[in-house]
Amino acid sequence: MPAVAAAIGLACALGTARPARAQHHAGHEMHDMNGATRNAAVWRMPPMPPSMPMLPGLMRLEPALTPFLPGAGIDPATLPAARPREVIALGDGDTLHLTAGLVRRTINGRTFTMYGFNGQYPGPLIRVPKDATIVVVFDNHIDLPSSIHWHGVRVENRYDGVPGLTQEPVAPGDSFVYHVRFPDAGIYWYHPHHREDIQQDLGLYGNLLVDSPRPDYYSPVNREEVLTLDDLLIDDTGLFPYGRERATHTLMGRFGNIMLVNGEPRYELSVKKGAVVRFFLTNVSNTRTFNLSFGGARMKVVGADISRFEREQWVESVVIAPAQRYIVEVLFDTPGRLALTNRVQAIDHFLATFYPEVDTLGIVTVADAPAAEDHTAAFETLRVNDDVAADIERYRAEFDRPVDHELVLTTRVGELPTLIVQIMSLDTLYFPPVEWNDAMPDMNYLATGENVEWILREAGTGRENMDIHWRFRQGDVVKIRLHNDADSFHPMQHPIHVHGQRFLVLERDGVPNDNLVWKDTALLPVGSTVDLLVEMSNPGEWMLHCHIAEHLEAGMKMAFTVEGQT
Amino acid sequence: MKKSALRLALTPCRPTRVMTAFLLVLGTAPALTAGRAQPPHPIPAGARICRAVDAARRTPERIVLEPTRQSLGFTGTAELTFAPSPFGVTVSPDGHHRYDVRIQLKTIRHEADVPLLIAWVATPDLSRRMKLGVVGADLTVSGRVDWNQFLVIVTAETSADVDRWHGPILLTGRSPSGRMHTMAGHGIFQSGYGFC
Repeated sequence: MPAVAAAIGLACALGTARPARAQHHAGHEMHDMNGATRNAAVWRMPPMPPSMPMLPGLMRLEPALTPFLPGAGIDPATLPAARPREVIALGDGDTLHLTAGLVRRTINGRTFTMYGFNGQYPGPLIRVPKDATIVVVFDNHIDLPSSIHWHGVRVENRYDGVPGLTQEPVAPGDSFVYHVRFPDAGIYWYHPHHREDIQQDLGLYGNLLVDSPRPDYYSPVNREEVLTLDDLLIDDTGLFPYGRERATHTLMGRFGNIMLVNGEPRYELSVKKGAVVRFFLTNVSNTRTFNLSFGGARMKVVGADISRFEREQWVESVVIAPAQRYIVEVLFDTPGRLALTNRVQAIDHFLATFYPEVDTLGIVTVADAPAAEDHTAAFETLRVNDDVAADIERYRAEFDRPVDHELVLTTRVGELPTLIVQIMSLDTLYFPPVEWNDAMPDMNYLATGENVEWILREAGTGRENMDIHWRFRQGDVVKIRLHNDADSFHPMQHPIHVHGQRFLVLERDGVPNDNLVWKDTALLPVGSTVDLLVEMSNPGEWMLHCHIAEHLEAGMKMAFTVEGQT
Repeated sequence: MKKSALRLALTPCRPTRVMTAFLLVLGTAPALTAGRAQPPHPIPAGARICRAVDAARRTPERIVLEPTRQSLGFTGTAELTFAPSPFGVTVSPDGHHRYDVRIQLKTIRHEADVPLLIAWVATPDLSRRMKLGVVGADLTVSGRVDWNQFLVIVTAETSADVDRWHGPILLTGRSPSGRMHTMAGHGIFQSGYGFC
């Protein structure tokens, strides 16, 4: 046995013999908790859930990247304090100046240097009428190149905000002018499409609420609430650093350990008894899939990414993956305090068991006094949206068409420490359909775009990611089959986003979907297969990618062209 | 070795740790000395991959039911598919995945010789059990379960009107999560888990 290997092995073992909890703080003592070094970007072991041991041999490893946090060298006290989101109502032809900049955020009494649009968290809620076109002058005042992608909005291609495909990245200090038309009513969002793993995670996101001209587009309710769902990873030192050159956390994506609703760790809402509230939900997190419920209050799902459902449907909870939107209506008919919770069954990989994990995201207080208007009868009625069904009916003849393109979603690893490879090979005998939490933070944070590659592989040709390039003509309707390979090194769910177009999820695992809705992001659990019917209505060069920010950074993207009609 | 790959600290030694070190060396020496490991299953660039997606897509999980010594010659499988959902993945409010289970049995027995069979699901510790249904003449039965870890059990009964099994267990199977492998007893993890 080589002496050097023996010494290293011995040292590994010794290093791991300390209790896992004590190791959470390893290296932290060097930081001044109260001073300007709070924003110091220094690698340390990621925060671990109390029940989860760190893996021996990994504790002294760190990503082969430069740690990055925003605003290096800037005293946070000199930055403007971020303020809660404002609603900006715009009409056709209006102009909005949107500036990405450094802000000072206080979360749970702790101060961090983060990003914000117009100094707000989230960015301004932009409310526009359907079919309006607005002009957005984007000024980039952060310390990274950036852009704005109008997620789900079928914009003109040159304004889609994808660096390298539709525009050059907007350098710090530069500007870009977007013209954004809103052809569909509903809830959308905007975010950078450049290093989303950093910029979006640090607060650069906002919603777009597009109003239908029809007053009966939705059922009458007492109130509307627009909620962004997010999480943020911090430890005793502060924000956990990002990789400057590439993303970290590329195995599972960067899970946070603080839940944020509209940028706040505790959402609060007060309503009167009998109130019906329509919630517009957007998952803006890097990777977390939420399972939301409102303390047992009755709930129905009304709409999703780009339209309402053909039929409203009762649901017990809402499963919402990154980038997805759902519109739900909730009846609060019992006075008291109801918790908005994310309830999942997490996995303890060491004991090979599941355990319940409940995150309280907020509280809804229901007063004894009755709501001024009683919308209970409308709530009790599950609407059938004939206009949605009629729109979809135009495509029904294509439902049985042969599959036009097939993608297999998989991964490839290389240059991971052998210990990780060995452990994960042992552990991958079973993978849950959805990873609801970061079950292995120490391994996850060591994975970078350099040693983990996420892959869209075209069945038939074997082409991968940006080597794939499909061509369509405007007006084509195509069936795309996506299969999430359960046999890869580390299978995981993927929320697949198609830019610039809308699609229907026709079937899942061979089972036809009998309640359709237009979407732009579909969740594929591990092992599953979905057939999408995509309406190629919008010409240009577009992207299809996984919306787990770190998977996108690790390569899981491809492009396709829709040629316009001449 | 890159500077960032490993930074090690030497601290006092105990015999158990020496053993653990030995295991670690056996397991990790190639990587530690070479700095990096090889991909476990390298895929050649440009390889033509033609997967049988059609076959895979209809049955995400298939459980082979194991005959017991009292199986009466029956064999079978249980297929799991996600219950329909507007969200693409179906879970209960507390986060358990919700599956549709379809059991298909086989036998060479004549139809008249097939006893009354009932399919059940139960949690691994048997603290909760649920009747999935009576196996039909076509030797199939379907039901729904929203547990993440469970056993599938087929019993022979004398009455369909029972809420727990009384007769012999013919076949058993475990949910896919039964493949999870505990690492708690592994030597290299014991120290990290506070066992030594």
